[in-house]
Amino acid sequence: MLLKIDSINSYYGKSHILYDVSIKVDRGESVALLGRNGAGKTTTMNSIIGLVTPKSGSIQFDGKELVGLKPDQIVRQGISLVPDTRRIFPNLTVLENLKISERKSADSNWTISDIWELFPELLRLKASRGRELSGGEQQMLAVARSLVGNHKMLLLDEPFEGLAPIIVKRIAKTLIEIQKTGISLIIVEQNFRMALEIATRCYVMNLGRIAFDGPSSAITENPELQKKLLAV
Amino acid sequence: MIVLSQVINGLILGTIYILMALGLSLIRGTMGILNFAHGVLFTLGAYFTVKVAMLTNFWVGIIIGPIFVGLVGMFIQRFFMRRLQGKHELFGLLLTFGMAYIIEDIIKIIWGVGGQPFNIPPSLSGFVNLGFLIYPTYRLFILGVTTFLLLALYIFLNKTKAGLIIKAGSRDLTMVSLLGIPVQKVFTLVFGLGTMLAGIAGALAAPMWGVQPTMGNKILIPCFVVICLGGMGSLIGAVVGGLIIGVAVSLAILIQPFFSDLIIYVIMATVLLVRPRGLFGEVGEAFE
Repeated sequence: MLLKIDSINSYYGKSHILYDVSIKVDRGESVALLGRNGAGKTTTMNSIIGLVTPKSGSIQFDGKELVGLKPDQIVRQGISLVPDTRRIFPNLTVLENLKISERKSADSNWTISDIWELFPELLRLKASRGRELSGGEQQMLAVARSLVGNHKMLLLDEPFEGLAPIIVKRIAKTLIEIQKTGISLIIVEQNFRMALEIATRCYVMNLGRIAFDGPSSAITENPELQKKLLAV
Repeated sequence: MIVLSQVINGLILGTIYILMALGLSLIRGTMGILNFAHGVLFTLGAYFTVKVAMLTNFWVGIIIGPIFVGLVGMFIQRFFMRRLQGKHELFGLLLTFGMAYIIEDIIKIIWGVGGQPFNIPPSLSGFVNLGFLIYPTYRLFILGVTTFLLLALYIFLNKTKAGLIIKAGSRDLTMVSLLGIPVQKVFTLVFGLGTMLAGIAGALAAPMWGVQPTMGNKILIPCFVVICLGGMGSLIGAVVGGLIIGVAVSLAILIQPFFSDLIIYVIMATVLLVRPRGLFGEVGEAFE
């Protein structure tokens, strides 16, 4: 077991957002975290990475307790968030964005030249500033930035949001390749069809609780469940 | 000829403003704090330099003195400012405000309220004939040192990983921490660097202005004016703003000495009325 979230309760100020959320992810596994807008998916990601501290419950990553650690300490355990807004540094070039994200570790060995092979479009843009990139290019760079940090697990918050279908396919294909290298993924999505093509297992959240967990096929093959849990 | 000489004097004064404003701007851009202790750290730079120079020589003093100021800055950040983490930034401002008084009093307690003698080495005293003007060697030395430091700072911010992290942090600190980089260590580095720049300014100004406990008080406000005029967080803005204010002050003295206090506000107000973000400030922009 790489990540074991055990009944966490998280709050924004006084609002109780997450109720006893439990999630498990194995080494090298891809898991989708689905749910409608406001279901608590991003809060779950923020709780893992330390931007929100759960009031109760535990989050164990590779045998180490994460609750109470600061975001930078959590990231150094080998877990990286690709935020939904991408948060590319607008005043740095593509290459500089990657340079400051580089981190050596025993877990994997991604280098900037590997990124140029994975995303040739970024190589062409390497001297462009973050603010000059399109949404798709920013998303590629956001994923690339996490890769050169050489983490055990990537948390991808809405990686397909606002992207053209052809770019969505491109990113999805890359995520499958990344998973094959042994990196675990948690993909948070409203676009559940694409997420389920990548993930083997999924959790569905509703009103701050885990409403369903099971193999991805259980959702893709069951239109009624889709309607009940995911339809807007 | 006197006008030309005052313009060059203004440029030299401007370089002192630039060093101060760059430090203020770096600290504000990254940490969100307007450092009111910057003036007294300028003073501390002069004192440290004088005292080290007494024990060794001028050259050792002017290098070691500012480094000591940077270390004092890192100490203040590490042991005082970190306690304010997560609190309103006004607390940081109040802390530096209080620190300014405390450090000034410590200077008075240790070294007394009177001035300190500070002599420049023979190689820097005397005059240089520029062809069109005979000018003090020491002032040209200041111009050379500042130009070198500006280039070094530019290279540091743009070509080193630490510099790029500072630039990135000026835009999105949370994302910097999400890369696994400890933000508080970045703050310590930035505060140390910014205060060291104030220390260098103090060390360089010491032989011209005299070394006494309140020497930093009159420079802080013009430096705030410089960063407002140049644009908050802009390196080039601090440089251009510093030179404009320096030259304006020098020329105003020719007309009427008290104009020199007034003119900086007139320039600032005029520019901000036309361009509220300053000459080089972009909306939300920093360290370009």
